Amino acid sequence: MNKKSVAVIGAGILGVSGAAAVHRWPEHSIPIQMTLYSLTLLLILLPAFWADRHHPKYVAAMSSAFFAHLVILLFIRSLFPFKTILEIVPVLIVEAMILTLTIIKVRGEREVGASNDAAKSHEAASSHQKMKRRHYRR
Amino acid sequence: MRERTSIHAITACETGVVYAGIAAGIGNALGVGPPGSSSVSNEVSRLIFNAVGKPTTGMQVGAVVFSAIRALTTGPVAAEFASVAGSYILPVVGVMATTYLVYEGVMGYKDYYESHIGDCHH
Repeated sequence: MNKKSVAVIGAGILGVSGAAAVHRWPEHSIPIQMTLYSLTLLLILLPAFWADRHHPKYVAAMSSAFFAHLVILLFIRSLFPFKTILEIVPVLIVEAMILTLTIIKVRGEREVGASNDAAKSHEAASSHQKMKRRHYRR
Repeated sequence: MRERTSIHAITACETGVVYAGIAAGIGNALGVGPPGSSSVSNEVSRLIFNAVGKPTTGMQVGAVVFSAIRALTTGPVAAEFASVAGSYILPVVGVMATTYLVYEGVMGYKDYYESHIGDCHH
């Protein structure tokens, strides 16, 4: 199972559990919805930049995104508790884009070969083919 | 004959409760209140207008948007940003919002049905 599938399945579980929690404890809907919002962002950013975890600026990039999220959460706190999730979806998309840009900018250039899984698997396959060819030549 | 009429009335009442429950479930998921209450879109637009309407906040928002556009116009950043947006941001937000909406709709229907079905049997 690849990272994208994990993120999408996790998003489904998160949506159901968040709605169930809000339905079960309506008096605590503000912290529950804020947690749901933050966890969704985490579910987007963590798998998206998981391949860069050995990058020297990875921690700095993630920390800057975290602080940016705190500031944005402070600005949009009046949106909570939302009556419907549709109210928060555009804000969530815009914030995810801002945080993605922040991480890319702070991290700088990607390390060569660190993140491209497809390229890695292609490389492995081609080296396997080369070994096979050598074996047949012998 | 009277018993049959009574059964028909109960069935019609239950059907009415089911349809009203579906409407209540959809209304609950979309956050639509009773007539006359302020709609969600009005509240959101008022919030955005209040935030961006101030000159300093407007300038800050403009600066952020400008820097974001400038960052997006460079090649490698644009490619990676588009990849993250297409592979993670939109699917994750879409699936999360859909499951949340469906759960809220089903629960809205269930709550309405359970609280009104008893009225048909009185």
